[in-house]
Amino acid sequence: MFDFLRDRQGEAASKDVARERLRAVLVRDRNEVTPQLLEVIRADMLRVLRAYVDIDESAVRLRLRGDGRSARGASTLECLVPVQRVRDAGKRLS
Amino acid sequence: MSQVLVVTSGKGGVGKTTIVANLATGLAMRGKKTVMVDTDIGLRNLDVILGLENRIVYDLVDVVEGVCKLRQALIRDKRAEGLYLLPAAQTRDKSAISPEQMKELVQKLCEQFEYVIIDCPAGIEQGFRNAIAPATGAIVVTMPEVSAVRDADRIIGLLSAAGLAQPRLIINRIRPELVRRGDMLSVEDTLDILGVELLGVVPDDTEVIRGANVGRAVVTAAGAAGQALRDIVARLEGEVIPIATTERRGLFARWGKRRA
Repeated sequence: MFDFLRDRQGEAASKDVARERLRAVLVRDRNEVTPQLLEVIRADMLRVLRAYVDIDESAVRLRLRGDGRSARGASTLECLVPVQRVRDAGKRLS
Repeated sequence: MSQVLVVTSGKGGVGKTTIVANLATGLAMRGKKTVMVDTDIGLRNLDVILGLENRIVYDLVDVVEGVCKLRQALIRDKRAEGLYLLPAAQTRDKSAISPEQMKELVQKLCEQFEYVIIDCPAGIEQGFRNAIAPATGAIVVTMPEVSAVRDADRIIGLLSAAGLAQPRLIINRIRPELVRRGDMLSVEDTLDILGVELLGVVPDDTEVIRGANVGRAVVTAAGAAGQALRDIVARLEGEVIPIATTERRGLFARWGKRRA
């Protein structure tokens, strides 16, 4: 992952590895969404969705996941919204 | 206008208490009436670092609970004119006081002191919230090491959320020979990652261990750490003193140059 740090002998100075690892982990740490913010996002999201679909609100799942696979540590907001039926407003649009 | 500076780090063991003891001593030696407040309730150490552990009668919690007057709890460090310590309680825990109580207490301290230096406990819980509540400025202490820097970053974020948006950084226990060999993060690496203003860099120095052993500050001692601490005190007082870089030439090489 840190090939660009290796010198001709194939050695990477350990402090350079440390620096790059810290950069990567801090991108994820800093992007961690607080529980409070998640609540706000959830409430706003449900308010919008309610106009178009009936939702089983107790089964809604919302979370921000750090993507451990990428070196730059991008995050993904995951939502699981069980829809019971499409409302009239939703039907008129489709 | 009194300055209330909280010294914090997130990570434990990076040198907050040592820094508080030495900055406060240094400021007092420059004629600034200074009080150090140990908020690490249950795990007090500021007293023992300065050899004042046998002088404690009352503590911070006693004052807040009205058991004694503030002046009864303040311990005068006889080695520097105008240097006082308000010790933490040892048999209670961080829930014994609230941020509101801290603010009221520090407001009273500001009536008689030019500097209030608050020793913040490790962590981000009640102790941290208590310590930062009355602060007008923050000093973040870190070591050039992955966990310390990660925690410092978190603390910087929390300080910003609490309205202390421009903390100043002290990089403590740096070992220039390890930096030269590529085995320790340099000052530039650390600053690049954390992105805050640098207040000073203190090298690892046996004098600090000796000082703690005998209960004495090292800000007046010979050696690299003593000089670095004096420089930090001077910068707090507004003096402009360039900070040596560790990247290529080595800390000690620049040190010699600066003294000339």
